[in-house]
Amino acid sequence: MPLSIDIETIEQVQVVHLVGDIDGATAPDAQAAIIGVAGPDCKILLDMASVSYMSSAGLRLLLVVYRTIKGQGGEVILAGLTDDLKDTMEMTGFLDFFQFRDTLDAGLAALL
Amino acid sequence: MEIYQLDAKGSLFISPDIDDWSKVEERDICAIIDMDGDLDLGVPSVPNQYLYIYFPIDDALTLPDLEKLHAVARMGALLAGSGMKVLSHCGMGHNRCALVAGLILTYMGLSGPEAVELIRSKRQGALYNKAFAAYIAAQPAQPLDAGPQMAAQPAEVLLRAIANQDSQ
Repeated sequence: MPLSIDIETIEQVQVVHLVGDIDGATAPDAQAAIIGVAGPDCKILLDMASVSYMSSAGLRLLLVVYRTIKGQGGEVILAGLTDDLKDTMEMTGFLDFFQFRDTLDAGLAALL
Repeated sequence: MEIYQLDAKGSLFISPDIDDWSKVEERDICAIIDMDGDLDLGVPSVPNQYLYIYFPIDDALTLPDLEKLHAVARMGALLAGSGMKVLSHCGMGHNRCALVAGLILTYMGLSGPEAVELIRSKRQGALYNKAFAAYIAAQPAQPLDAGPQMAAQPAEVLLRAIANQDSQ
């Protein structure tokens, strides 16, 4: 399933809506889009509610995004992870260093 | 980059992308199964050093070409069984390399569920791809018939044999 990427700005938060699968074919575009809005002290909310599958390329993307944003003093929160994605991130240890919220609104509230 | 040893004997390993060949050398690994989409950077090209098997597949909820996958796994099991150390790797070291390694383990005599359990116990998050995990879990133990051993002959033995033939 192809990935669609939409970015909107809500106050000082860049909200990145991802819909589809994040895999080897789609991760480079997603990474470019997210890194493209990452700047010093940025606040980025990744809307993951409609991401159905994330391959290891997706995990690598999250790692790069996390390091890039943290390296610039920014914040990133994942919102709306499905149970499958939450399982994946828990199994791989990624949940230990990512902040996540169950809903987009809760993610926004945490960043504003 | 970390390399994870799977079997007790130390003949089968998995890892993410190779970014430090010294770690491969430290383990005396001599056969690499590369499941990632990019050829590894800095693959040593020293003659007789590494056997490099390249079979890129997608980490997706569909299975790759099973005929080729099993061929690679059987080769991996034969190499490991003949005393060579085999490293299966992909990008992050979670799914694709573990799919092959799981099959190799079944060809080394483990049942599918045993292979899945072993891999997951050695590498956090391995085989989170449910399609890959289910496929391995469904495999029986299928140890390869040892067959005639093709032990490497020292060069001088072969040269002597050729010389003997020539003199006859």
